[in-house]
Amino acid sequence: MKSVQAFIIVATAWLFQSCFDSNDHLFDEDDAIDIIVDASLSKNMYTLTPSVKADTFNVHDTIYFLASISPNKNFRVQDYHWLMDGVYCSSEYNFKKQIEQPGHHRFIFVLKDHFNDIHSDSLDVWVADNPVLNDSAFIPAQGTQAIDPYEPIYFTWSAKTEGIRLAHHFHFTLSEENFAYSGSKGSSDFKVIDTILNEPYFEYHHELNPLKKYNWTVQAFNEYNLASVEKIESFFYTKGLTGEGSLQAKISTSQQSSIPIHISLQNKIEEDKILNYNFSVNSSNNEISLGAIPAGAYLLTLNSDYPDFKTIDKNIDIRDGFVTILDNIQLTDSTPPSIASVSNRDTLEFSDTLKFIIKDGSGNINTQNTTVQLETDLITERFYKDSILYVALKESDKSWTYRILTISVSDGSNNSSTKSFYIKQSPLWFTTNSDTTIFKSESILLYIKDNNQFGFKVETLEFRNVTTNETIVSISNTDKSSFSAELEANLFDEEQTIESIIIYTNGIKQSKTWKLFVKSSNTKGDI
Amino acid sequence: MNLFNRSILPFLMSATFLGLFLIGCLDAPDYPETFTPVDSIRILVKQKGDSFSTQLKVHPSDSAVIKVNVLPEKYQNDLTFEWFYSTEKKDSLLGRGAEYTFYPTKDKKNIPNKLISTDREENKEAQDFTVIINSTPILSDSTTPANGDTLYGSTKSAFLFAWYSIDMDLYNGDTLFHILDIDGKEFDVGTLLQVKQSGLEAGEHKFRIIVHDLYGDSDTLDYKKFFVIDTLEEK
Repeated sequence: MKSVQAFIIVATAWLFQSCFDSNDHLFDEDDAIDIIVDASLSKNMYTLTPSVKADTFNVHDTIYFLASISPNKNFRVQDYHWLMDGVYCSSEYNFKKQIEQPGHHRFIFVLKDHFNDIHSDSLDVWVADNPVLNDSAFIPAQGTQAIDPYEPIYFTWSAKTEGIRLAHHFHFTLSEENFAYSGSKGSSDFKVIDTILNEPYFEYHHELNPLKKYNWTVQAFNEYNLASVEKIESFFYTKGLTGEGSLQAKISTSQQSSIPIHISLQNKIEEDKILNYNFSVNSSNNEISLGAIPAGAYLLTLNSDYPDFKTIDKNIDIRDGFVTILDNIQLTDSTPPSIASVSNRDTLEFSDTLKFIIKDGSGNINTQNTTVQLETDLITERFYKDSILYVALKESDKSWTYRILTISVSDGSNNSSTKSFYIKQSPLWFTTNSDTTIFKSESILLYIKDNNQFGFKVETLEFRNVTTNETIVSISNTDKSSFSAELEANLFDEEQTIESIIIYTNGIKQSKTWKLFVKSSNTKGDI
Repeated sequence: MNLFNRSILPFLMSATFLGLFLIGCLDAPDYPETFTPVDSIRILVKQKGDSFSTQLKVHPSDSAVIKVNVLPEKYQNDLTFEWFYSTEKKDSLLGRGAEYTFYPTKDKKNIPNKLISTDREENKEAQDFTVIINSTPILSDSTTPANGDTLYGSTKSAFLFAWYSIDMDLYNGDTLFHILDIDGKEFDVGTLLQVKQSGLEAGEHKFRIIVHDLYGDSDTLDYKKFFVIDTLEEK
């Protein structure tokens, strides 16, 4: 029993003593730790996208919700969770979610610490699908004609965002079509309208230009600034004065450079009434508007200065107030350029400058679409002057044998031609006649003399009339290194090309062509 | 004296504490009366020929009945109701009871905008509301084209469609929106009263106009026929 008494006394003493230690249990503000929770949302968990407190999302977006705690998560917490619109949503610090219910949603991250204190942070999320723009029902319908340019024009359309009632705004543009050629004079410059509208319609109260094409576009955005996938891209035509119509055409061509075009419209009833138009088009700028034309039936004739483009004839009707549309005029060039030497021969003497005649009926030949190769070597020194292609050869291009020069030319429609020429060997190891003029009453001394420095032995010496393709004289198996013969002029025509040929026993052949003119007049002499 | 040697003392102390505890129980408050769980107090309105609606909208041409509806309905009779016209300065009592009949006029002083519900314990709950006085929009039967008209042009011709609508509330901030229905295809044309539309093949067509205001009241014209003759193709 005494031990019980002693215990009670000690316990009572300890209880009283504890009262004197109360200062040890007082709250010290300096020892407190401020717990701060921070909630944020992001469109991506892993990349460095900015985290924000509020944002708008598409219903198909995945939203990442992030919660951070400072100073760190290493303290005792009782509970933490997320609420979406006040309803439990997740018990993770970070989670992702796709919200299918359009509208505004509030997310709150709630943390209850060891002392039952509640810490929270909230986020605002607006979710909607993209607006749907009705791109099949709008006014005026696509291609509407005869809109009065001097009366108000009303544009209407509609859009909505599924599942939620949202306000919409619209990006509206109205512009006048630009043409490569616009026949009407005096039309005022139309200033493009590019505006944002809060209502699904637009009233245009200013004047437009008559007989023009106008393009207009609309795209819808909802109040979350989500854009519609659909876009209205439409157009209409204005009318002109009573009794007038117009013609707008697209002239398709593959030629990138300008093609001069002439169009004539001949009235089929009053044939002496012909309207003429001159302009240029190319592959990228090829739409034309001929301005006001009296209504009626016409024969349209389209041709070009370039003969490679064939003339096009079409019967067309110009209707009162309407713009006749021709979008299938094909201006084609299927004729490739022609290539010839100025001598019209395919075998050419070596020269530091060779000249070629390049002809094309599309007016579009230049050095950019011309390549010249001496066998595998590309020759860059080439230029055109008065439709003559000049090709410069270097001294190092000379050879004791024939060389092949290849010229490739393509026109603006990518029609191409390639032709190869033989360049004769140079220097020659023999001497022979040059171009010569004689009277009919005279004779000519044909001579050929080998002087090669390599010791090659002569096998054959020959003179050929290239013009008549006949051999004049030929000596084979000879041990002579030269040959000459005097022939009377009456054996020759007024003009011929003669080829002097020497063939060595090792098979190497050299030749030279020269011209022989036979004159009946008193003029003569070597050229 | 050793108190712990007397066996009756702990018993007396325990009995004393138990007695004090039981006396404390006698001082506990009575259990409260049964709580009346009213879910909601709804306000509805109707006019002649219509049924009650929570959309507090009336037209000015007929008297209207406004009533209160308590859910669950079994508690309806446990509450009393007072209808007021309330301003910032004062509340004017218009009537008592679950229903109140009024005539919609421009003078809103007889149109209630506040309900005070009182239970048996004199607990009160006030609800502010607004009764919208809205006129139904009216479409004029005169349109372009008129019924039976013939239009000359082509499928690309821009034909004029024009109509006229009126609403007594236009000067009070109401707005009229129109739908142009051509052959069953509806075009939202907003507040416009005319448009020019193309795409009409030669032959018989029909169109009508539907108008509705901000509060959902609407008017619809009967379909009107018109004919398109393609004069350009004939040439």
